[in-house]
Amino acid sequence: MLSQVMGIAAKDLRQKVRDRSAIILAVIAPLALAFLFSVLLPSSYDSFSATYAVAELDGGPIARALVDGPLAGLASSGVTIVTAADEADARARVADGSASAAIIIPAGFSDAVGAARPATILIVGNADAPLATQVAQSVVSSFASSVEGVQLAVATVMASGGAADPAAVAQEAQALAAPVALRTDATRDRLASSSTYYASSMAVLFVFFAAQFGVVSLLAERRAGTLSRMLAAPLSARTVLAGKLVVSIVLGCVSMGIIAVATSLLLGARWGDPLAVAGLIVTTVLCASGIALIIVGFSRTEEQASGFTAIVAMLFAVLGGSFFPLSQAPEVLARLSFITPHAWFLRGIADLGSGEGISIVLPSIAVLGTVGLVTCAVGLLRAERAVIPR
Amino acid sequence: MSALYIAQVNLVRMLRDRTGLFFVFLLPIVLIVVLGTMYGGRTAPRLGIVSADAGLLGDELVTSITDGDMELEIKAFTDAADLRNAVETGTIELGLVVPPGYDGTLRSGGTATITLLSQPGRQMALEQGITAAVAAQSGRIRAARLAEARNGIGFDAALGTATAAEAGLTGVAVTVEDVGKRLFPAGIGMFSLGAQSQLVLFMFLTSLTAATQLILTRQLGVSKRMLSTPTSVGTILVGEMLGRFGVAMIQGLFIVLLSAFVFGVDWGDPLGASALIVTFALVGTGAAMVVGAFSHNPDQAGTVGVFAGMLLGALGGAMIPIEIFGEPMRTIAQVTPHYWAIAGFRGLVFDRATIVAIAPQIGVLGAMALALLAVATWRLRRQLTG
Repeated sequence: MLSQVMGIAAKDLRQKVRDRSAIILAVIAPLALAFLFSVLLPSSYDSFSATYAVAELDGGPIARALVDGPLAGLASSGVTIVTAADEADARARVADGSASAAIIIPAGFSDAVGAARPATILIVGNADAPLATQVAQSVVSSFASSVEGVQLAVATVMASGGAADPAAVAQEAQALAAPVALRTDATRDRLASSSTYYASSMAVLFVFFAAQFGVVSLLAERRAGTLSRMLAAPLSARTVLAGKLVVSIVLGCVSMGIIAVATSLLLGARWGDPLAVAGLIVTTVLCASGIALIIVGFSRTEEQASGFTAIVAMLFAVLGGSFFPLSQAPEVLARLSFITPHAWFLRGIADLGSGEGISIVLPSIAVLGTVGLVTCAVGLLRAERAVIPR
Repeated sequence: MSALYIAQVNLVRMLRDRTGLFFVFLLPIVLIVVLGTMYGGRTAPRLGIVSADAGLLGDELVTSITDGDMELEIKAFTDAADLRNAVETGTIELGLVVPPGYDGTLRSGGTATITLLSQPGRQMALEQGITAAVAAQSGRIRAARLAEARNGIGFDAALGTATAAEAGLTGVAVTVEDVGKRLFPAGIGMFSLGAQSQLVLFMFLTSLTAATQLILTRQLGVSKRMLSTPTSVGTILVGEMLGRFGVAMIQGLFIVLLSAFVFGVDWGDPLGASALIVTFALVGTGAAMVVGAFSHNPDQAGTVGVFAGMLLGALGGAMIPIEIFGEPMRTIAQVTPHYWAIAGFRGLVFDRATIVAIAPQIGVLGAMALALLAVATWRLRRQLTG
């Protein structure tokens, strides 16, 4: 029986290799779209670089401390500092785009801080470079709050005890360790990078189209009468159905496998641990093939089956996050998405971005495997009753 | 008259195809709704907080963050592991863990550690806001400790003095000014961006898939039979064009009117919007006629049509907003009709432009339509009469 199943599958697969529509849907379209999306999105999202125009018009110690300390320290994180002659010059550089943001420290700033008078640092950001402006604001604000902390210490000591030398108190306060330490704990990256996301989302979107080619041909063979002829030979209905299902599964695995390998080599997509990816691909293809077979079982013609498959594939893809990353979705939608295989597959690939092995995707593989086996079984039972001519 | 009849047959054929109806009418609306709820509904970043048994000073810190200037959606978590999982999978942007016994540690002169969970480099502004709130509290406690040590008063009294002193300080202000244009103007409706892109994406897709009908008409010999009746080649071509054009217009108007009345999408100046839709529908018609004229296999033309429609749509900014493209893709995008149609709608809606101001976009679309229709007419005329 197994050799007969494989015989049918091999014959069909040879035909599919020659069918240009199958190749376009299974390989070319997903690859082209994944490629297009990754070139469309600028790579500056991954590495930060910016130029700040600094107009230091004060010349006092506190202004120098900002320029020589935190601002100079930005050089190591991709920031170039250029010196602007005055405020107008700094603004002009932002306006013409040669700087992403300007930092303007007005004359008299250090004196104002020392005398606890209002002091202001101005940041002019280019609206086109919001991230660069945020970074500038973040660095300057954190400097400002350390200055304020010292001011507060001086004011508190004076208010609670009377006479003291403000400069001495300021020095003492600066030497005292901060009571609250803030530790930034970088989490594991379980959000796929954009090239990985688009590669995997296009792969799962199109596998639902690719996997239909095997089982939909059942309807074509029935129409052409070749199905009856196959059944007249010593072949059981189950053997024929299993052969067609194998075609779908092989096509799906080949489609997703090629996309995974090609996007890894050409686009720098990081799919993660190969064993885990293989597990996710095989179980996802089982789901796609099983669902396609169920649709075939309820269709009269190939056109109808292809149409329904396309509708189900697109609805699942929209809901399952093939078009937009679901982490941005409201909670209800994000939960709802997990009725689709797409969401489980994409969750799995994103989890693998953390660099961990197959254990992190076992939940995804378990769900996809169960759904895949159940849909394949239901599809086979339904097709045996509805598609096989008697 | 005969041209209109041919057009009508084409329209009826499309409306009878139920699968087609899903792609023409339902899918674009589904996408507009999903896109809108996904990107338009929520603007505030989500901050998850674990602060069990953090005591008075812990509560003070959390309150200063939640009641501060930052626009945040706060989610309380009971377990730090859940919080970490939520940050890693992106369902919240940032996590904050205030340790148990925070209050006691600080009152007894120790150092308390607050943990900020974040995806590296993704939430600078938000991290900055949290850091500032923590630094403010840390500064008060340090000032109180200093006063306690130097002046021999109790910690609680010193902290009270510090809080009072803080109110009297003018501090160092950091003001931020933006120059230039924002990526998307504030206050555009949540469904607007999605509606503009889905409109052009699907009008073009539908036109291209309709190209298969033209091939079928030729292959089944319908055109030849029409020619044997007193119908001129010109009439047949105009009829076929009107059929495609009608399909694109029905779909376009459906998307525009439904999104306007049901989801409140603003399409700007009605005259300008109509001109854009008509010229874009003509471009779609021209592209369909060209594909139909040069292709012989309807199945293949169908697959290629869908594929080309998606590719051009992506390239022209109908899938990812053109505003976030990098160069040189932003320049290359200009070869697609999608780019010009979307630019026109952006002008109408974002800049409140009138039809006069978007005349360049309409002009480019018109020229594209004319060129495509001319090529298709030349080729089909030769095929039908040859």
